[in-house]
Amino acid sequence: MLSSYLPILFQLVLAGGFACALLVLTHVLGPRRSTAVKLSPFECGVDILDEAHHRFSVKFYLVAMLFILFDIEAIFFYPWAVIYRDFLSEGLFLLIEMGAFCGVLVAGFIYIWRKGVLEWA
Amino acid sequence: MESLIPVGLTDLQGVYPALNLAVAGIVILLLDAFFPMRSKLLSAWITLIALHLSFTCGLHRLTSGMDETFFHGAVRMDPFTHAFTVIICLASTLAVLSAPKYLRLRDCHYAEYYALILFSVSGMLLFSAAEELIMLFLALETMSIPVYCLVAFTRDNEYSTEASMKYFVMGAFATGFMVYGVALLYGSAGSGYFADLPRGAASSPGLFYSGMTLVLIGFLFKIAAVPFNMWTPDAYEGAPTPVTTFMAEAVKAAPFSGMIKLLIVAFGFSQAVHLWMPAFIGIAILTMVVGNMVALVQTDMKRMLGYSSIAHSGYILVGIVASVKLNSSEALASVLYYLFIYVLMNAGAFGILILFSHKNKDTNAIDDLVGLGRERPWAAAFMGIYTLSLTGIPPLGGFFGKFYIFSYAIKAGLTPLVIVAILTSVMSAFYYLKIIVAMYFREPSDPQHPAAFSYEGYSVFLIAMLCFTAFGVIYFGIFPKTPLTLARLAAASLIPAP
Amino acid sequence: MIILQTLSARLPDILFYLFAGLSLIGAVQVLCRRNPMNAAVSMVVTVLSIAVLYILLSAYFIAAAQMIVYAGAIVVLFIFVIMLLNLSAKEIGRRRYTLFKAFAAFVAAAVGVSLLPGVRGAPRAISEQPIDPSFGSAKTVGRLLFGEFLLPFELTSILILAAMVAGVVLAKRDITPNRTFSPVDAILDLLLKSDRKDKSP
Repeated sequence: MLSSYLPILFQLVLAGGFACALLVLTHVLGPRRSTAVKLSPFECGVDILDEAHHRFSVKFYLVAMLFILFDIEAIFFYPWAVIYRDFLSEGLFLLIEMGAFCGVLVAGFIYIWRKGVLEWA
Repeated sequence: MESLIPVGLTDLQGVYPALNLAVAGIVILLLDAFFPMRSKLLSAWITLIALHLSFTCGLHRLTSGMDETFFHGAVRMDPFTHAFTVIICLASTLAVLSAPKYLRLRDCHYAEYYALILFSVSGMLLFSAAEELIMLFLALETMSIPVYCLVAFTRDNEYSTEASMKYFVMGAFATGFMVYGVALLYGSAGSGYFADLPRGAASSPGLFYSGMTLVLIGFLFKIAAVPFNMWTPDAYEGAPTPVTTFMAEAVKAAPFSGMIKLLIVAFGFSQAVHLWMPAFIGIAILTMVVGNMVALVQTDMKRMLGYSSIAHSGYILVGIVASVKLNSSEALASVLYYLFIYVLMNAGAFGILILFSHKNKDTNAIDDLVGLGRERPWAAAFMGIYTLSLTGIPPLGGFFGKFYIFSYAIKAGLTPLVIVAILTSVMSAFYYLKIIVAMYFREPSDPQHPAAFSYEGYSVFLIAMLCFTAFGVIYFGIFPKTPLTLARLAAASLIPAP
Repeated sequence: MIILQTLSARLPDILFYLFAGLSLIGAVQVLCRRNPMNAAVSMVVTVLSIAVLYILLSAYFIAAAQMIVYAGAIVVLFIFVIMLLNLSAKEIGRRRYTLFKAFAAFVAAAVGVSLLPGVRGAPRAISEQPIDPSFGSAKTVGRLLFGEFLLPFELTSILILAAMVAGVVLAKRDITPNRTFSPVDAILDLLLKSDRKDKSP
């Protein structure tokens, strides 16, 4: 069964090989004439304003974490959606199952919303 | 197409104690989101009512001897589970009662506190009911994650944050062990149900015994047995005192439920017992010795009680080993009784610390209690009762708890273990008596300015909690019949009488 | 042509060893890299290789979930934390070899050795059973998740909710609301039918 994926493997090897070959070739063939001006770092043609090493605000982290939690929630929708048609006779039961799951998370979402976590204050 | 296995209302009723708490937690969150109130007492009351409902439900089911499985065997509601439902709900109630004033003093009295406690407790109840590995693991996580946050609940306090970080990292480490073990056990047996696991030992013993070791290591982390205890003192010291109360009782008792169940149902056959029993005996000895020795030199009460709670884990391990060795439900009942009494006396000791905590500073050092006996005789008397009970002085509950465990251990032929246990108990008397000496017999270092004891942490809730625990420690010590009968009923469901 | 045929017959084995090796290399890199960003990217290698291993085991749904949740979201979170701290090379410090690390390596090796016989013995017993073609599909997972494992599934929602609240409590600077609702005022409003909000500025 897996042998049907053989073309995909070939494609992967081909694409990867092509990309690598290009990188290597430009490195080998391309002429390099570096001067001091060329090597100096710049931002969009402007001189550097300050260093790129800034600490992020913790607010980003909170948003990222909430994203993950809802991402995990969304994952569970796939198997549910796929089997729903097979168990139409038990549709109400399935609906309640997923409804309870989502209900809890919607409660969490309302909580987050009302607490102003989503506001970028 | 075959149908899904239907789940009905009876299943929901089966997990009612946990369901009720989770729903109450969500209600508190939504209430706080829509109608944020300045006073959080409504949340506290909802929490107390929900805990009370689960408590009475557990007690009712325990006395009626209900024993059924729900959700296709994911959870089994047997008297053993009901007994833990009762103990955990009681412990959490005591912790919640001690919280409101302390949190208000620290300016962090949020409704989230109660919601997190409720989620954690609902995880614990399912944890003690779990009969399946995935269920066990998820319930363990539901129980732990809120506690990591609760430890850091005084968010401006760097000790609190640091303690939370340590606790979280070590807890995640333990979880890693646990989930690795769960995977191996499942791989060996091809099923996650506890009753099916022994099959794995026959088909692929290598995977099975590695998995067993890893799962048990995860549990030993959670109960803070000695090589895995390093997080306990820091987490106990840094956490806000009501959270420490919660951790030292509910979060302590709950892992024991899952561990005992797993040890008896899944790892109870003789080859496995021969493997884990010697290890457990060694760990119990280490736990008792190290816990008590290190507690001797502590000057901070919370830290000292942290080490003492490690030591008490050791005593409970002795009881577990004895009950498996004897295969006797009576011995297991003594473990349950001990946990029950331990919850009462430990909660009381932390309660006194909360009573005297100030706006910006805890009253934690043993030196802070100097002169308490003269200034506040009532509080000192209560503290005396708790510490004497923790030591194990006769008419109090703590003595009978230890007495039953040790006598069954002797019956099981674990005499060396009992000798160590008794010696370490004697050792523990030193540091518990240090508190009493400080309260009654020591003169303040600066006689001109004796320490002022003001009831800054006073609240009606806290006083109720203190009275109840003090009464319980005395009453259930002198009349241990009721809890012991219930504990026997519970233990008999796990170890049927021969 | 013969080469191709043998290749395609051996393909699962080849892929397994390739990606198992990759995942191991990635995992060792996560441990050994001093620069946390490099470690995080090495983790992506491990996570994706394991996803391929899941596909080889015909656990397609788990493979997809692994890619979406781990490679897609969790590594992003890791990178957020790394950028949050943004340690300079000086703060990261040099690599040190301590006794503790040696002990840890020993424990890891011991676990590996103790598992080896079990792992070598187990697959033979399992591979003899024919695999149901629908095994590992989203449908099978769904049937298990919404039937046999319903309670763990519902408990997950509580777990996620608890994690959400915990994250908000720890990371949000100010969780006290601007306007608090007083039940006494509300009751008075109802009783007196006076609109208090208009009167107060």
